[in-house]
Amino acid sequence: MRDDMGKITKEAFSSEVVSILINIIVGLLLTLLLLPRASFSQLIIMVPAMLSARGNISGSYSARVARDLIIGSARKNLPENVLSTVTLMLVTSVVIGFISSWIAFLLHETFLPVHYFFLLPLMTMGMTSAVSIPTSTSLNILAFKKGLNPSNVVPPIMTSIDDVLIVLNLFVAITILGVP
Amino acid sequence: MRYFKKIVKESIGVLLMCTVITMFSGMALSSADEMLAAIPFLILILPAQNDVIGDMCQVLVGRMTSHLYIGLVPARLSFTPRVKTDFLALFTSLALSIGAMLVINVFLALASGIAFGNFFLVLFVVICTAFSLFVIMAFMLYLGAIYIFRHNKDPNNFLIPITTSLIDTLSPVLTIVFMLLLL
Repeated sequence: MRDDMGKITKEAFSSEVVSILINIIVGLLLTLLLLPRASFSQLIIMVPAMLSARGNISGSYSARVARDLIIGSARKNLPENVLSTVTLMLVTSVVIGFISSWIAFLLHETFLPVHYFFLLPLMTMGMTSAVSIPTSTSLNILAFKKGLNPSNVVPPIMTSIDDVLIVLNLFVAITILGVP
Repeated sequence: MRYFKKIVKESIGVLLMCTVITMFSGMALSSADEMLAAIPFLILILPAQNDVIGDMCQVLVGRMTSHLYIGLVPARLSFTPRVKTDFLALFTSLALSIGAMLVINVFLALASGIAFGNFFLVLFVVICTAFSLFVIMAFMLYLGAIYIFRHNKDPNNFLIPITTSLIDTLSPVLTIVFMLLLL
């Protein structure tokens, strides 16, 4: 199989363009929805961690569903897979809330009420999971039924969808809680 | 509940470690809030910039691991033609992707009225951050893949989650450092 520099560059660059476009939407949402807020300097502490954690949790969930479909144990394992994903999401949200509240306390003179630091990641990641878990499961099943390997198709799509959902849901959570 | 316990037990350590690492990124961005407010274009490009560098490093790890397993690359420090081709091809892809990212972002910023600040400064900072981070990470990942492979473990399982978190942290930090040095 030919695997020269031109082929590697062409394949890597082509798939990267889609990824760039989706991440530009994330950047645009951050710039337009979060940057103008008075609490931006404290909100931005938790954004990279939420994006990274959601990607890691969602990527692993998707890979497990794909593997279970391939080995024929999806029906049996799905409830515990979902439950463990929700548990990991809850634990990570609390850790993000705890660390970001400390960082905000150390870096800033005016400090948002502590409950915001815990409620924002919980609500944001909870709402994202409510959409992400059923979507990821459905996409895995659909890809599997179409004869594709879900491991190759679903994770890149879900990572990008989750990134956009996290920023949108953070904005929804900020609006619901009335964060300045 | 055996499957539930297995998933939580195996995932929680790496997940929390990655979360803690990426909190440093949030801390750096929060410290530079005035600069970000003055140059909103930086916020616009940061997610795509992290993604491009992270993806190229992940492809590099994936390729290196496959080559180690099939014996195309020896499990010792040696810059064979295969290693050089992989590195140069991904470096070229990185350059093209950063170029595409900047062009799309400039059009978007012009269309939505997002302020550039000093555009050439931002351009220089993005190029410096992307290329220096990729070169450093590529070398570290190459060494890491050989080390892990020699210990009979799969480099993909260890290096991919850590690479993503490190890039998500180091990319904004380096961007801010370069901006502070050049402003």
